[in-house]
Amino acid sequence: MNWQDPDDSGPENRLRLKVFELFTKRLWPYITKYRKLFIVSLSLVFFTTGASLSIPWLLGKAVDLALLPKKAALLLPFGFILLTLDALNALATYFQNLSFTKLGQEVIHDLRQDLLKQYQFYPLHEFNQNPIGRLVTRLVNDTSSLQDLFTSGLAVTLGNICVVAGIIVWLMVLHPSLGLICVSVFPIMAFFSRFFGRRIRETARDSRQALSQLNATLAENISGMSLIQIFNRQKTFHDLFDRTSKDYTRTQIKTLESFAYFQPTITFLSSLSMLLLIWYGGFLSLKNSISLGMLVSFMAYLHSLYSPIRDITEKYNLFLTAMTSCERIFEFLDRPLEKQIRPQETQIEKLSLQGSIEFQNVSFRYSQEKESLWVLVNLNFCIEAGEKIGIVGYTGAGKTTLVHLLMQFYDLEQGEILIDGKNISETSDKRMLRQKIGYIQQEPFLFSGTVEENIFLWDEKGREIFQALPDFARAPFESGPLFLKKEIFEKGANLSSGERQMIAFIRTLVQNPSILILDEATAHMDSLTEKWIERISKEAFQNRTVFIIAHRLATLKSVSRILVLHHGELVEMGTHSTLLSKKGIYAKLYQLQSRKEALEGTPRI
Amino acid sequence: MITFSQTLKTLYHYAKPYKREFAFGILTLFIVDFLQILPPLVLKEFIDRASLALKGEKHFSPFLWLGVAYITIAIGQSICRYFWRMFLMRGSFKVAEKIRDDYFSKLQKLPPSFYNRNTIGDLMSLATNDTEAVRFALGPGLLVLADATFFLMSIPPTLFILSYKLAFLSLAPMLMVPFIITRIEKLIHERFEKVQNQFSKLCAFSQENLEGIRIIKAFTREWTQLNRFSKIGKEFVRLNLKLARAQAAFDPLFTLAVSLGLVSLLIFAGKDVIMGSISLGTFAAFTRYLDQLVWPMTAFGLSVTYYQRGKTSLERICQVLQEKEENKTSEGNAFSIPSQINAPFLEVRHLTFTYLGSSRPVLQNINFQIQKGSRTAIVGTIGSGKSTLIRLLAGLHETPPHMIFWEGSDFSKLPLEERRKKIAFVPQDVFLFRETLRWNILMGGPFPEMKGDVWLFELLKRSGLDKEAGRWNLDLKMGERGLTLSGGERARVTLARALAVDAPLLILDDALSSVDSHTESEILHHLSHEKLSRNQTLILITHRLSKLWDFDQILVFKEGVLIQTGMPLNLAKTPGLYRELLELQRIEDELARS
Ligand SMILES: Nc1ncnc2c1ncn2[C@@H]1O[C@H](COP(=O)(O)OP(=O)(O)OP(=O)(O)O)[C@@H](O)[C@H]1O
Ligand SMILES: Nc1ncnc2c1ncn2[C@@H]1O[C@H](COP(=O)(O)OP(=O)(O)OP(=O)(O)O)[C@@H](O)[C@H]1O
Ligand SMILES: [Mg+2]
Ligand SMILES: [Mg+2]
Repeated sequence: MNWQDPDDSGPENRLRLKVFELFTKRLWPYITKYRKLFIVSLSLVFFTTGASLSIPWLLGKAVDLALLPKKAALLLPFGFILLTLDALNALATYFQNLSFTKLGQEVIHDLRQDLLKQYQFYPLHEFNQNPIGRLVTRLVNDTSSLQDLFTSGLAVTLGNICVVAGIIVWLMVLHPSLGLICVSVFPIMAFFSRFFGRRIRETARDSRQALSQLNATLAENISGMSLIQIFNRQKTFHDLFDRTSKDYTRTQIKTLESFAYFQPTITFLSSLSMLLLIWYGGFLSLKNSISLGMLVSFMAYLHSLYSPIRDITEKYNLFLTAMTSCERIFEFLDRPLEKQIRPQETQIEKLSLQGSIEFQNVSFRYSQEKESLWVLVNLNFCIEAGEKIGIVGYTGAGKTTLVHLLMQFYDLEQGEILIDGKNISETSDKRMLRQKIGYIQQEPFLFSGTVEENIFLWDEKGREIFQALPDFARAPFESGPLFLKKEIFEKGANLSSGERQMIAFIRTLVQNPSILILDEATAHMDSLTEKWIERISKEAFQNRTVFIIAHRLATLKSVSRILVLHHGELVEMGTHSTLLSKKGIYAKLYQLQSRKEALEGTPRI
Repeated sequence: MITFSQTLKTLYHYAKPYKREFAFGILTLFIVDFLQILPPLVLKEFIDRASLALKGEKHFSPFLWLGVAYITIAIGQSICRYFWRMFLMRGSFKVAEKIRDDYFSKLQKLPPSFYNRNTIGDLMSLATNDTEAVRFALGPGLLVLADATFFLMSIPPTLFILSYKLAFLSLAPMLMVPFIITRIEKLIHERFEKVQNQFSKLCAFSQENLEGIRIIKAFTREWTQLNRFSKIGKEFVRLNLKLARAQAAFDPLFTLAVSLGLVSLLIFAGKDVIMGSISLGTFAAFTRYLDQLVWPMTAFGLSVTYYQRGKTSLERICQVLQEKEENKTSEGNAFSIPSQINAPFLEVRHLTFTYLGSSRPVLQNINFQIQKGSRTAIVGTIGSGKSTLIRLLAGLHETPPHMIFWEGSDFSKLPLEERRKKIAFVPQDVFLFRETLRWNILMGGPFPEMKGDVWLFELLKRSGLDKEAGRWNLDLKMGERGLTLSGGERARVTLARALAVDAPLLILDDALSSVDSHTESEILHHLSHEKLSRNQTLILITHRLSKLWDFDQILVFKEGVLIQTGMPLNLAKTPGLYRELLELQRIEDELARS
C-alpha cells in the first residue's frame, strides 16, 4: 500500500489559456487601468529605441559631413548634438525603467489585492481542500514572477518588436526578393517557438506547481515543528521535504532544458538566413542584378534584424513563465465565491435581530457525494429570542456542524433554518447575519499583534463596548499576561490555552452580537476563570440568544433548555430535570460527572 | 552584514560540489563568445571574393567552402550555447537545492523560541524567495559577469593596440564606472534588504490571514484584512520603486559612459582624422568597438545587481543558519551510569524557569516526585505554567541543569533524542499533518515500518476511536491540520499518536478537554489498564476534576507555584485551591436547581 502518496496536489492548474488570450483578455485590463503610465512608458520606449538607432546614424553623418569634407568647425556642434542625445537617451532609459517597474508593481499589487479579496470570500470547503501554502504561493510568489515581465521583458520586447517591424518593411522596400529571403526562416522560427513554447509552458506549470507544493510542505513542517521534534521524526520529514525540493529543482531544470534547446535553435536559424542571403545575394550580384554595396548593406540590416530577435528570444522564457503564473492566478480568481455574499467594501447593512431560531427538517453532510454520511439528520427545533440553550452530545455528534450551519459557513442541502422567522438562505448578504452572530470557536485563533488588536480586530467600535464592561471583566487585561498592549506571537504562541480562550470570549462580546454561540469556549479554563466568565455573562447574556456547547456540564448552569445530539439526530430536548428523568444520554453523561459515581471508582462501561 | 570575502566564501562553499559544472559552463560560454568573432571574418572573406568574382575571375568553389565554414561555426555556437546554459544554470539550481536542504535541516534543529520570533511566512519566503536571489547571483550573475569579462578582456586591449591616444580618449569616461558601482552598490544592498523584509511580511500576512479565515469570516473582517494587506502591499511597491531608482541607474549610466567615449572621440580625435594623422578606418573601427562595449557594460551592471541581491539574501539565510540550535547535550556520559536504585522515576527539584524576554518567572521553585507506574494529575489556574512544565520535560525549551532528574540522573544531560524517546506527549495545541490518518498515528510509533492493522485498531481502541475508526478510511488524506475532523476526534487522534510511541512516560496536556465525559471515562479506563499491563507512568493535565479520584497524586499549580500536592481525597478535605475548584465543579445541586 502506498501511503506516502506524493501526488496529493489535487486539482491544480485547471485553467489552460492561450498565451495571447491570457495576455489580452485577462492581464490587459489590469494594465489599462494605468493607461497614462503605460502610455508614458511606451513613449519612452519609442524615444529610447529611436535615440539608440539615430546615434550611429548621426555618427555616420558626422563622418560624411565633417570628417570627409575636412570641416573641423562642424565637429563641435556634432559632438554637442550627440552629447545631448546621449544624455537624453540615458535619462529616458532611466525613466523608462522606473515607469515600467512602477507599472508592473501597481499591476501586481492590484492582482494580489484582487486575489486576496477572492480568497476572503471563498466558501470554506476551498480551504479544507487547498493547503494554505498553496494559496499563499499564488498570492505572493506567482504574482511576483510577473515583475520581471514588466521591468525587463515588456520594455525590451516592445522596443525590439518596433525595430524588427521597421527593418522588415525597409528591407521589403529596398529589394523585395532579397527581403523575402531574409525573412524566409520566419515560418520555421514561428514553428519552433510554438513547439518549444508549448513545452516550456508545460514544464513551467509543473515547476510552479512544485513550488507551491514546496511552500505547502514548508508551511506545514514549520507549524508542526515541535511535534516533529517531540516524536524524533526529523529524518522522516526531512526526506519528505527533500523530495518536494528535488522535485522543484527537477522541474526547473526541465524548463531550462527546453529553453536551452530553443534559444540556440533560433540563433542558428538566424545564421542560416544570413547564409541564404549570401548565396542568393551572391548569385544575384554575380548576375549583376544588384550591386555588391546593396548586398553588404543587406547583411548589415540582417544583422540588426536578428539581434533584437535574439533579445526577444531571451525574454520568451520569461514571458511564458509569467504567463503560466498569470494562468494560475486567474484560475483562482475565477473560482466561485460563497453564495449570497456581497464582496464590496461597502458598510455591511445593519440588521437588528431578535434572535429566535428555528430549524426545519435540516439535514446536512459535508460532501454531496452519494456515499458520504449525513452529519446532521432531520433536525427540528425552535428557539425563542433570548433563550439560553445548551447543546450536549458525544464527540463527533455534530454540534460544531450545527453552528457552522447557523453561521452559513456551509450551504444547506435539505431543510431550512429560520432566524427571526426569515429563511437564512434568502438573505442577500451572509455577512449581515454573521455580524450579528458571535461565534466563539472551539480552538481560538489569534493573530500576531497586540492583545488589543486581537480583541477589537481593528475596529474601534468594540472599544466602547469594552470600556462599558464592568471593572472585574476588564481587570485581566489591565496588567499581567493579557495586558492590552502585550505583543502576541503568531497563533498566540506566548499565551496559555486558557488565556487565548479569554481573549476569544471578550473579543466576541465586544462585537455586540444578538446571538452568541460558545463552542467549548471554556474547555481549557479552570473553574475560577469560568466563574469570571459566568459573572460577565450574567449581564452579557441578557437580551441575547445564547448557545453553549460544553462537555463539562457544570458550564451549563445558566441554560434553560438543553439539546442532546446523537449521531446528528436530536434525541433529547428539555430542561435539566426532565432530561435527567428521561434516563437517556444526558442522564448518563450527568452520572459520569457527578461526584458520587466517580467516588465509586473506575467507571463501568 | 557579511563582507565581500565571506560572501564569496559562502557562495564558493555551495558552488564547490558543482564546480565542474560551473567551470564547463563558463568555458563553453567563452567558446561561444570567441566564435562570435569568426562570422564577420567569413563575411569579409566572402565580400572580398565576391568582388574579385565580379571582376571576372571565376571563384565559385570558395563560396561553397565559406558557406560550410559559416554553418559549421553556427552549429558549434549553437551546441555551446546549449551547454553553457545547461551547465551554468543547472549548477545554480543544484546550489539552490542544497541551500534549501541546509536551511531545512537547520530549521529542524531550532527550538520553539526561534519559531516564536519568526513567523511561518517569514521562514517560507527565505526558503523560496531568498534562495532564488542567491541562485540568481550564481547562475545568471556569474554568466553575465563571465560574458562581460570576456568582452572587457578583448576589446580594450585591441583599442590600445590600434591607437593609444584614441583608446585613452574613448575609455576615459569609463573611469566613472567604479565610482558609480561603489555608490550604487550599497544602495542596492540596503534597499533590497528592505524589499525582501517586506516580502516576508507579505508572505506572513497572507499565511496568517488564510489560517484565520474562519475568524475573519465569522467577524466579517474581510475588508479590514484586505485594507491591512493593501498597506503592506503599497509599502512593498514603494520599496521596490526605491530599489528600482538605484538599480535602474546602472544601465543608462554605463551606456552613457560608452557614448561619452564616442563623443570625446569625435570632438578630440576628429581634428586628427581631418589632419590625416589618424586614418578614417581606425576611427571607424573605434566607433564599432565602442558600440560593442555597450553590452558588456550593461552585463557588468547586471552582475553587480545580482551579486548585491544574492548577498543580501544570503545574509538573511545565514542569520537563520547561525541561530543557536536546540541544546545538544555535551556530556552525554552522565547518563550512562546505571539508574540509581530507589531513586524516584521522575523528580523535579527547585525548578525555576523564565521565558526569554519576560521578567517574571513562569515557574518558581517547583519540587515534586513521580513514582514509576503512578498516575499524576496536574491541575491549576490558567496560565499557571502547567504546559510550560511539560514542555520543559520534553526538552522543547532549554532546560536548566540539575533541576529535572530521571531515575536519579540529570535529565538535561541526556541527548534530546533519547530524552524524547522516554516521553509520549499529547500537546495542548492539536496539530495533525496533511497526510493520511494512518500516517498521522504511526508517525509516533514504529514508523516507517508498518505494523499490522490489528495493532493500529488496538491503538484506536485505546484512544476511544474504535467506533469512528470503523467508518473512516484510514488511508484518506486529511484536510489541513485535520480540520475536517471534529474537535474531539482530532484530540483522540493525537492521543493515538502518542500511544503509538510506547514510551515509559505518557503526558496528556489537557488532551481530553474536548471529548465528552463518556468517552473520557473510557479512555481513562483504558489508560489505567495500560498502567497495569505496561507499567506506564501517566501525567494528566486537566481542568476537569471529577475523574481524578483514583489518581495517585495531584499537583495543584497557581501562578507558577506548586501550591498543593497530595492524594485527591486528602486534597478534597483540606481547604485550598483544589477544594475550591472542586466545589465549583459540583453539578448536582446547581443543575438540579435550574
Ligand atoms: N469540514 C468537514 N468535512 C467533512 N467532515 C467533517 C467536517 N467537519 C466535521 N466533519 C465530521 O462531521 C462529524 C461531526 O463533526 P462536529 O465537528 O460537528 O462534531 P462535534 O459534535 O462538534 O464534536 P466535538 O465534540 O468533538 O467537537 C464528525 O464525524 C466529523 O468528522
Ligand atoms: N513562549 C512564551 N513566551 C512568553 N511567555 C509565555 C510563553 N508561553 C507561555 N507564556 C506565558 O507563561 C504563562 C504560563 O503558560 P502555560 O502555557 O504554561 O500555562 P498553563 O498552565 O498551561 O495554562 P492553561 O491551563 O491555560 O493551558 C502564561 O501566562 C503565558 O502567558
Ligand atoms: Mg465541536
Ligand atoms: Mg496549558
